[in-house]
Formats: sequence, structure tokens, C-alpha cells
Amino acid sequence: MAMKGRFLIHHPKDNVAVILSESMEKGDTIEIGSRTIPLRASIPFGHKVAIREIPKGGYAVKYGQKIGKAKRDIHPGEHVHCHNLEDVVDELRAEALKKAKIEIEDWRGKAS
Amino acid sequence: MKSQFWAYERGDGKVGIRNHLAIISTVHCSATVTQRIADAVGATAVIHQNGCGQVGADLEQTKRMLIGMGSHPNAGAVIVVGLGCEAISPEAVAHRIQGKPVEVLTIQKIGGTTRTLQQGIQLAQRMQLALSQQKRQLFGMERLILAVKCGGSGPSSGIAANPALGIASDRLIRKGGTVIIGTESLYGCEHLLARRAISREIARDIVRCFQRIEEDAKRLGHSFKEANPSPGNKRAGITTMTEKAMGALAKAGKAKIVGFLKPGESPMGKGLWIMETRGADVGQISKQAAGGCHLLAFTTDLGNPIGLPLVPVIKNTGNGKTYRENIEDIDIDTSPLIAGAMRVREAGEMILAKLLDVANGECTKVEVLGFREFAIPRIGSAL
Repeated sequence: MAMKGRFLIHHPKDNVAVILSESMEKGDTIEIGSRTIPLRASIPFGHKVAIREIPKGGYAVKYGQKIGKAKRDIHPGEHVHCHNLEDVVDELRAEALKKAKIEIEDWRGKAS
Repeated sequence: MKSQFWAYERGDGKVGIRNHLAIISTVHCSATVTQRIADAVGATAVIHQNGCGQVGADLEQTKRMLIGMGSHPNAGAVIVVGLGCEAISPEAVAHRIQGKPVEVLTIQKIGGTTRTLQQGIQLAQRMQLALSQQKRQLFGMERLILAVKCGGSGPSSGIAANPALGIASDRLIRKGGTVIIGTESLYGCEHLLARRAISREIARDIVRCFQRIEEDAKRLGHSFKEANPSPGNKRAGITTMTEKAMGALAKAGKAKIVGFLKPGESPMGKGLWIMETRGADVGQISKQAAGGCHLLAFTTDLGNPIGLPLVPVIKNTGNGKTYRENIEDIDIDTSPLIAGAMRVREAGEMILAKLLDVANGECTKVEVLGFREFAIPRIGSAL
């Protein structure tokens, strides 16, 4: 029988939730308000599940902040991890600093 | 919720939540004599492996941290113990410590270790007796300086222990208090730290600090990206560096960053401060201690027993198994957050209440066990 799992959404802007149940199997569900999202894979404790569509090239948002870029379309219920999410720390850093108008030398030692 | 605590007033306007006699070695050569004087009278030794063969920024950092420990509000009196020929003279350290009795012992001047021990123990006994006559007075929470730190982190850290501590940190700052977070574990979110800074200058200092760390890694032929997130982090569900760093940053809540501190430098005002804390765990918390934090709140997933001289360290874990297995080292269990039996705000209030209890004199677990690690990380190599 499908299990209703416990999860945590750190920030209202997040498009991923963190699984708090010991482990959840494919077909188990999480309920967010009136929405029921079935898991598309088994997901261990502490790992992330998509709770909204994240299109290829879009960002996964956790703690209200962009944490990485989708390598392909990620659908609600999918496990979000290294197989479908790319670490783009340099890009996130450059974008955030530009937005805040903080001019600094970039990480290769040249003035930006 | 109570918002006052009982503390010792110092001559320089600071307040201390403990009344330690700090016995500080200026150089590793005087470390054992320092430790023996402290042991003889139940004082607190501050010993390390530096103090000579150092130049430039490396020498400055050692000196700043030793003066910081001597000036620490939880030290009611200080004895500085030197050898005599070292780079950092005991007088130079003692002269910078204000508002409390400070004495100097120099082994080469006194004439040997046995005479220094005898003189030192007699002096330390008199100072301990005088300290024991001081009474606590009532002060507001705005006088408290808290340091936050995570170590032995794991899956529960970013979910339970750190966010709960973040709530406590925010509450303390709203009451007018001060919090110090170190730069460790925050690689990958420096852009977010910069955006939380109250001025562009502070933002620039923060980003430059992380740049220097990455440049140094490059010089050694390495990059933080190659090792981060670690295989263990990935097994725990952490996918990216920014995600890992955000989990660590959660322990400092959501407050704006009001200033950037050098290692061991004291905050010059209220609010959230970030300190350069390069080094391993003990070196990091030693830098925060030298900055004058009254208390250090330490979160862990795997368990960690370290403590500090002068500063009570309060441990908090979100891993229920770690709490049960390490109950002698860990003060607060935030694992009910994960089980859904507690809300993060309640956990934050519980931590803040514990911080106030400890400020009032209640001991932490590692304080009772007498775990007092102290280390001064090196910059560059010894000469």
C-alpha cells in the first residue's frame, strides 16, 4: 500500500522538498495542501524530491535560493540529485554579485 | 521567556558568564609550566604550539588570538607565562589586556621552571581566592555574544540542528545581542553572504576572503570543487556546493551581516558578524573564542566532543541515534524535529533557553568533562 511520507519544505519559494521519512518507495505519496504528489522513484531520508516542474536549464530552489541547474526536465515526484542537477556555483555567484552591484575581481583574478 | 542573565562585571565594561583565572603561555616552550600552574589551582590553561619562529600575518594572528583570550570576558584575571626569548613577549600581551588583574611570569627572568612553578602557584592561588569573592549581577540579553559552529555534519544538520540554532541566533539578535559565524563550511554561498552584508565594503571583504581561500587551494594544486560535496555528503542527499553551504549557513538564521572580523578579532557592535576561521574544527572555534564569544553553540550529526578553555560549548544534534550514543557530550536533542514531534520555532526557543541557563552558570556536558581544546592555525610555514 502506498505510504504518505513526511517531508520538509525549507522556504515558500522552494521547488524541492526534503524527505524526512526513513525511506520512501516509488508510488508513495507526499501531500502539499490539496495536492498529492506520487514519487516517481524511491527516495532516501534527507534527499530531495521535486514538488514543481523544473524545466531543463531551470534552477532547483532550496532554502529559498538557487542551488543548481536542471540537466533535463524534472517533473514533480522525481528524485533531484546529481543525475539530473548540475552544480553551477560559479554562475550563481557571478549572477548574485552582479545583481547586488558588488564589483569584485572574478575568480580568475581579472577585474569584472 | 526570561531575557536577563547573571554575570560578572569587568572593569572594561564587558560582562563575563564565567570567572576563570586564565593562564596563558605566550610560546610553546612555556606550555607545560603554564598547564601545571593551572592544574595546581583549578585555573584554565590556554596553551598552543606557536609564539616563536613566526613572521608577518602569521605572528600577528597568534598575538591577536593570545590577547583575545586574555581579554576574554569569561576570564576574571590573567597570568601570562613566557620563556623570555620568544617572538611574542609576555609583556606585549599583558599590556594589551584591560579591565582585570594581569600578571606576568617569565621563566628565564625568574630563573628556571621550578622557581616559576612555585612563584606561579602562589600567585595563582591568591588570584583564584580573589576571583571567588566576586558576585554575579543581573544584565540584559543584549550583552551576550554567541558563536555558532557546525562540525561532524551530516544529513540531519541542515534539516534540524542548524535551522533550530538559526532561530535562536535570530532571537538573540532581535534582543540586541551579538552572534559570530565563521567562514568555514560556507564555500559556495559567499554570494548570498555578500548580499546579506549591510554595506558593499563588508560584502567585498567577505567575497575576497573566500577568493583567497580558493587561490591558496589552487596554489597547492587543488580546488574545493573537486572535494565538495564529498561522497558522504552525496550519500546524504547533498547535490551541490551551494546547497551544502546553505545548510551550514542556516545556523546563523536570517539576520543581516554587520561586519567582517579577522581571526580572533572582537565584534565592534551588535548583530551578526562573520569571522575568517580557516583551519580545522579546533582552530576555528579557538578563533571565535579569541573574538570574545561568551558561549559557543555547536551543531553536529555524527557527534563531536570538543570544548574550549574559557568558553562553554553547547552541543546540539538532530540525529537521535547520535544523541543517545553520545549523551555525555551533547546537551540538546533536536531530532524530534525530524520525527515531526517538534516545530523548528519550539526547538529554537529551547536552544535559546538553554543558552541563557548556561550564561547563568549552568554547566554544559563537555565543560564538566573538562574538554578544553585550543589551537592557533598557522598562516604559511614556520621559519
